[in-house]
Amino acid sequence: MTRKILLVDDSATVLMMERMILAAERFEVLTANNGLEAQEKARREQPDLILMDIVMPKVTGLEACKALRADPTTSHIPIILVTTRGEPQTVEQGYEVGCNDYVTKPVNSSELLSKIRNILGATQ
Amino acid sequence: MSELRRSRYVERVREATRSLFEDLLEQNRKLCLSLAMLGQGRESGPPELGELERWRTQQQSLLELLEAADRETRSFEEQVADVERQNSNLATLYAAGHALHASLEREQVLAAIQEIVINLVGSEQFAIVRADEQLSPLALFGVPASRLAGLSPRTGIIGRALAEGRPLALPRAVPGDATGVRVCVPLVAAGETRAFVLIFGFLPHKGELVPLDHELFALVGSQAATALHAAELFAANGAGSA
Repeated sequence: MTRKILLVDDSATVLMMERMILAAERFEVLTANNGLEAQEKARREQPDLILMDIVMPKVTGLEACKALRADPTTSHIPIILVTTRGEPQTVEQGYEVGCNDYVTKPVNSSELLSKIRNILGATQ
Repeated sequence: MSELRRSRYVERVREATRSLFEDLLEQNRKLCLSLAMLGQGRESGPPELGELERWRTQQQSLLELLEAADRETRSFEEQVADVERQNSNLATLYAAGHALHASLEREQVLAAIQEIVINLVGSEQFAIVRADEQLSPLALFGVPASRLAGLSPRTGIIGRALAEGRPLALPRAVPGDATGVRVCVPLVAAGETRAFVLIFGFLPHKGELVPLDHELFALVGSQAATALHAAELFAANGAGSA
């Protein structure tokens, strides 16, 4: 069964790169450009996993993560946050708002795929 | 990794497993026989030395078979990881090239260069400057304009990059180097250096520069200058206001 992943980033370059990496692994890929659009798409499309940047306009990744967890229709969807900062404080904030894991930019594809497989494997 | 290659590998593993299973069954049968003989008061006597030697040889062969299967599995995993890495690198370079040529607006091209340096290289301290004597800033990110004071296109890493016409990177900060430039990427179009990307530092969690970083520097060096030049020609022709 093809698993559906929602990519959220305001950078078109990052979205394209992540889309190509995940599509090569036969994931179905959806995209959103900000946290607000991510919430709408998550409710409508019910992805198996969300990969979301933290720094975004309108609604940040942290705010969107918190909102997704508070919504009963999206609270079960695993979320991996993408951060440019690997400091403990940023990571802690991510876990406080309910993310399952995080990766740092520039994204290491092997690390990303491994984390996605781990999470999707655990939720099968 | 092709489907044919995967199915051949799976078939080889199945065959090795089947063979191992049959050998184990045979050994088990022999052990049962020996135990039965011992249980009967050793009426037939202990196993002969030759028989024990054959068992030992068989066990050794089985061990070697298992080790070979293990080695092959590890090799296969490494190949898969390598293909994944290559796919990822190509995806990154494609996305960067696409971003640079996605617009004829100068500001958009500069934004694309910044996106690449921040998200794909991993730096939040850099400047894009003209290749004039003052190194006039076109865009600054995470560094003040004063950071450019004292820099010259004739000396240091910038001078060397200009002379060689290719990106240069220092593996680590040089003690005593007041400029603090770690990477200099000359943006070259039609044989002329038009600008530089100067990187002063990387994100704290980024380790050493990897081959993909150097590929990105080379791509930015050749493609960004062309994109900037095209944007300037487009603006000069007044097409932008049409």
